[in-house]
Amino acid sequence: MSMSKLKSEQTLTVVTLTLGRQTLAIPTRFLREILDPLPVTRVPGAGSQVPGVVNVRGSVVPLADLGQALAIPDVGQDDRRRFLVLDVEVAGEAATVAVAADAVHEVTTIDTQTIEPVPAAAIAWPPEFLSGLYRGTEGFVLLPDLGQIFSNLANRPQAVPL
Amino acid sequence: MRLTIKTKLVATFGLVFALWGVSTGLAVTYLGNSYERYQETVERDIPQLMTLQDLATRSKEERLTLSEILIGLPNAPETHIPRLEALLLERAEQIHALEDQLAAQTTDPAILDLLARFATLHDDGEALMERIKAAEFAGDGDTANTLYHQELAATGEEILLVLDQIETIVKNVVVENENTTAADYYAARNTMVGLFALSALFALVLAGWTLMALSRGLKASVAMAAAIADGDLRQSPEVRGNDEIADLLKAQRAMVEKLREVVENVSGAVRNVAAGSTQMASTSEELSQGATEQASATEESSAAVEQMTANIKQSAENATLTEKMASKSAEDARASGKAVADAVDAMQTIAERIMIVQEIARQTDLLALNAAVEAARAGEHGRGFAVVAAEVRKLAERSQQAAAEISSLSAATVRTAASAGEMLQGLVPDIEKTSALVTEISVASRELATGSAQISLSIQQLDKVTQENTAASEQLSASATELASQADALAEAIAFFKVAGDLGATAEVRAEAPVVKPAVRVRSAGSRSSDGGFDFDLGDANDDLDQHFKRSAA
Repeated sequence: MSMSKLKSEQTLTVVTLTLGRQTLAIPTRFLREILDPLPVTRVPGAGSQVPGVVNVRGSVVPLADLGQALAIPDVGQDDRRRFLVLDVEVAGEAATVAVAADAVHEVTTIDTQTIEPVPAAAIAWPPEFLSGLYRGTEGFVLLPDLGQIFSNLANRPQAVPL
Repeated sequence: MRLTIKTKLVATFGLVFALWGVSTGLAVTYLGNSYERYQETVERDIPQLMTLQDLATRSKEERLTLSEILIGLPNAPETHIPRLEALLLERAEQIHALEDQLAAQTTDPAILDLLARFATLHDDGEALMERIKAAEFAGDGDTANTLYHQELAATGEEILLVLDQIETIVKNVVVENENTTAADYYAARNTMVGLFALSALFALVLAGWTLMALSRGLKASVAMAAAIADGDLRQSPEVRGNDEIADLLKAQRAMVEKLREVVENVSGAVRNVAAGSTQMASTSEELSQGATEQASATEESSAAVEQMTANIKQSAENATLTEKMASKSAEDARASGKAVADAVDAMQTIAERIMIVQEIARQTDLLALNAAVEAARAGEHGRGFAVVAAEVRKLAERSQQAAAEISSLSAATVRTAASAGEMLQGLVPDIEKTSALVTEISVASRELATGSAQISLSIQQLDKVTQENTAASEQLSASATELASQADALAEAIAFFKVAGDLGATAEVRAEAPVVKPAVRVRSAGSRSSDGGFDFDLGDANDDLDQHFKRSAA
């Protein structure tokens, strides 16, 4: 999702979540539901970014690790861990993906004007996976480019085709 | 050879007895000779004389009978003349017998010659008498008378003369015997008197010598005994000689030496006893004082021990009470432990319940979040629902927060209670141990009370004993004083004996000591001044001249 597309509307409703030490924001329109952690079935030969699949109300949904994709170091998990079930487009096709979050905070509405682009010089994360960032109450909140991330994951040979 | 008194006496008596023996032997010899001569006189000479007398008598009777025949008797019986003839024959027979007897009695040749002549004369006389008788019977009376008066008378005279000669010879023998005996007697008397005088002289001299030696020794012995009786033990006389008196003196001297030694020992011991008894007196006084102090100390101890006994009894009672309290505390602690355990259980139950609440709150939160998501997706229509969802979520969060707080609080409480329980559990054995110890203390203090009562009793006995000791030590003190006075009395008594170690003797020794020293010094001074000069030394305070001055001043 490009910056321009983000700023096509006045406001954006997002769910804020924590991954490692980083706070991310995911637009609510991609979000189907938030679940307690589910048993993960590991898929043989899967990569570390998509380690396995989970059972969401009878359907098999791949579990993606955003931390691996965004190179966010893992700092451990507690009882605040949640799975977010997302409806995203991957390569023009609708797909359901689950991502793990260390904590889910709130549903909030932000002004798109406050969203800023990721500095090009910043090489801490792969810049192509981020749409932008904004200044939250507790530091910067990253807006991941989910289409890009999952497309990338799908394109990879070992990625599970959806 | 040892010349003892016994030897002397035996020698003296032996000598005297020997002289007496010689004298007695001589006397016996002389007496024997005299006896032999007397025997000779009595057995030989006197019978000879008697026989001679008989011969003379018979001869005269023969002549007388013949004269009776010659003288006529008027109216004479027929038997008158025959009877006279028979008588005449009988007389002649008797004379022959007497001749033989005399011849047997003598061996003297002179007497035998005279006797032979007498026999001849007698035979002549008999023949003459036959002729006279025949003349008479023949009636020639005148011839017969003439023969009788002339011839027969001459023969008779001659016979008597011969007999007188024989008698004279015999009497001479007797006189000679008597003279010899008398000479023997004088010789024996002189010899015996001489021997007696000699033996008396010997006896006197030897007895005097022995008695003088005896007397001298006995005098010395008596003097020594008298000196010992006076208590003078200093003398030790020299002993001369080798007899019993010398032995006695030696024994006395040994006795004196032994006595001196004993007396010296006794006086030393008496001095020691006196010193010891004085010291003992002072010591026993100190002892008495100490015993008195001990008695007072013992009384104080007795009082202290009685107080201690009371305190110990009180302690025992307190210990018993403490024991009961400790047992109760242990029970209470156990009960408290149980209560705390119950509380911990309750808290854990509460924590579990709170978990449920927390889970509910979490799920509510999740539901509210999902509701918020749904509301957001509903857009403008869902705005009101979003507000409700937010509120629900806030409530859920608050309840979750409160539940978390309660959970943490209850966990802390559980920890605290568990710790308290553990501490109480740990406390129980300690309290039980304390209870047991207090029980032991109680028992021990009861025993202590008994023991202290016994100690009190013992101290009372000790007090009694100490008082007795005090009395005894006072008595000892008195006895020691008495002993000291007795020792002084003994010292005075033993001072009766004068020995060389006494004061007088030591004074003599002191007086004698400087006398010996100068002799040596003079000699040394002389050897030093042999070169003619002398050392004029005023510094030497101990020279001989000073000593002389000192001695003359003293």
